[in-house]
Amino acid sequence: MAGEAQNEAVVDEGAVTHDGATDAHATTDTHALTEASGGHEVVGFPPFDASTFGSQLLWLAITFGALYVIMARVALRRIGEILEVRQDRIESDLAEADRMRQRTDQAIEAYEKELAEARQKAHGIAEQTRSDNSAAADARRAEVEAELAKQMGAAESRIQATKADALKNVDSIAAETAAALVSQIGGTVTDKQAQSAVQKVLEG
Amino acid sequence: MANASHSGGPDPEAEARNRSRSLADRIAEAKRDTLVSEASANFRQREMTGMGRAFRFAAEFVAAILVGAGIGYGIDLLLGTRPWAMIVLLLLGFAAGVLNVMRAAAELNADASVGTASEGALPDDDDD
Amino acid sequence: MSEKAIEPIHQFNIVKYFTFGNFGGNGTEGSGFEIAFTNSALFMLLTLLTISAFLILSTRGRGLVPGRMQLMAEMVYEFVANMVRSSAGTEGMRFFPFVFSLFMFILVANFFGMVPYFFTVTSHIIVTAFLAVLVFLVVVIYGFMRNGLSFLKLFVPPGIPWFIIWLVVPIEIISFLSRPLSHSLRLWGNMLAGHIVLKVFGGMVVALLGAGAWGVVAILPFGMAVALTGLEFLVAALQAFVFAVLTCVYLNDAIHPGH
Repeated sequence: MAGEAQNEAVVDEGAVTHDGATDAHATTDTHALTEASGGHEVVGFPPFDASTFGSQLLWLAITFGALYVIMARVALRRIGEILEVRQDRIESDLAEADRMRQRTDQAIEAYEKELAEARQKAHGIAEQTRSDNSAAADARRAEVEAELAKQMGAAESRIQATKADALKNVDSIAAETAAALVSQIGGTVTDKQAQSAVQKVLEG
Repeated sequence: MANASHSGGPDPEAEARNRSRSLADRIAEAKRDTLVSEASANFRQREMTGMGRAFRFAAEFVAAILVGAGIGYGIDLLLGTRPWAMIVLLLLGFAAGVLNVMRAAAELNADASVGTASEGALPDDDDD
Repeated sequence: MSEKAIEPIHQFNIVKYFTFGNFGGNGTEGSGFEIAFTNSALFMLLTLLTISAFLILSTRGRGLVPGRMQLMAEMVYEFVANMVRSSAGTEGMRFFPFVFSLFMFILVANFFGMVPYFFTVTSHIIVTAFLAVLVFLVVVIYGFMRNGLSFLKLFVPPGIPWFIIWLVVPIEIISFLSRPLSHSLRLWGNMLAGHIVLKVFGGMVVALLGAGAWGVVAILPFGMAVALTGLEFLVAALQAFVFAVLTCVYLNDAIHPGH
């Protein structure tokens, strides 16, 4: 802050020397102006100094005109393009993302449907298999039972035959034994007598 | 076997569906985002400070009076009617100044109500 | 020393760097226009170069994903574009480069003025008047080009009985003609007043510091100066914005004169 006043003084001097080099009139002008503005503010109020208007207007026209041309022809057009390209890109990307998402949803749906169908089918197959299995087992059991019954019948009849056979043998053995006993004792017995005797005992 | 598919099945499925839903949300949000920048213009009305308004009203008022006086002066010079045209046009300029200020005020209020429509007009009324 | 330090007008002095010569006039001192390269011209050039360099260099990469500088350029672009669109409609967008140039020129010139020892281009009324008259001419010329004589309806508000019309129309005309004046006065007055006040407080700090024992008191105006500097930055941006918005409002009259 302290340097401000000093610096302005320096600027002033610089201006004076520059002017001195180019235009003697301007030097005295500026000098008078500076002093006036130092003394009475109203007289030397720089924004109202009409002698500077010409150059200010000229330079303003040049710089503002150039700015307008640069903005309109180059800068704004470029930024506009950038924004447009980005907007298009964002929109297309979003649309693409949305499309992909919908396809994903469809895929999930299809998958779920298929899964449900497959489950249904598996259930049916299991049911079918179970019923098939039980029928076959029943049939075989019946077969086996029948076989068993047949075999048991055969075995029974064989036992019956064997028993009868054995009993018959027992009769003859008993008759023979009786005859042998009688002959031992001293009598004579015919086979016929012995057998009828045995028969009598057996029945008796 | 049915049991196994139940414990393993829903997890990746639900996950995929959740992911898809959150993606849908994010896409909608991104689409909305491009509109948000439009709202950025609204911040301007809030920056109209009391001093800025005062200066604007003063400039509108003074400018109209100056223009009225200037036109009157010009007519007086041309027609030699000094000072009547100047007096009349000064009055007209005064009226125009009042009109300017009224318009500026209406404009600022309209801007302000647009800017703070979502929050009600109260905070802005405190401003002046 | 204190006389020099509290001199708040000094900062607005036009300093000639070199002169091209006199044009017009009758050869006597002070007549005609002297064309010179001044500090004002220097800062106009600086403003032009700064804006152009910033906008062109920042967008050089044309990045799909913007860098920080490009983002700033894009934000300014969108900000002004929204302003024009909301105030002057879609048709007003043909004046977008014009409004954008005005906004950027005033904004950057105002901010340059905030740098100590820098010259404030917009603190000279001839500059703000030039810009305001430019806007005014664009409005009038485009208004007549687009609407023909029905542009004059602007001065005849609807629903006014015939016996006050003759009073209302002159008032409306004065109001319309006062636009460039108020337009330029506001910008100029804001910049001038702000800089003078800043300078006064700055000068008080310097004076008090120079006064030995009173130096402690300098903290008061220094605090004021700091606070005012912050306010001035806000004003600098706000005035550029207000100038651009009013330009849009006036342009809207040229596009839709029926109110």
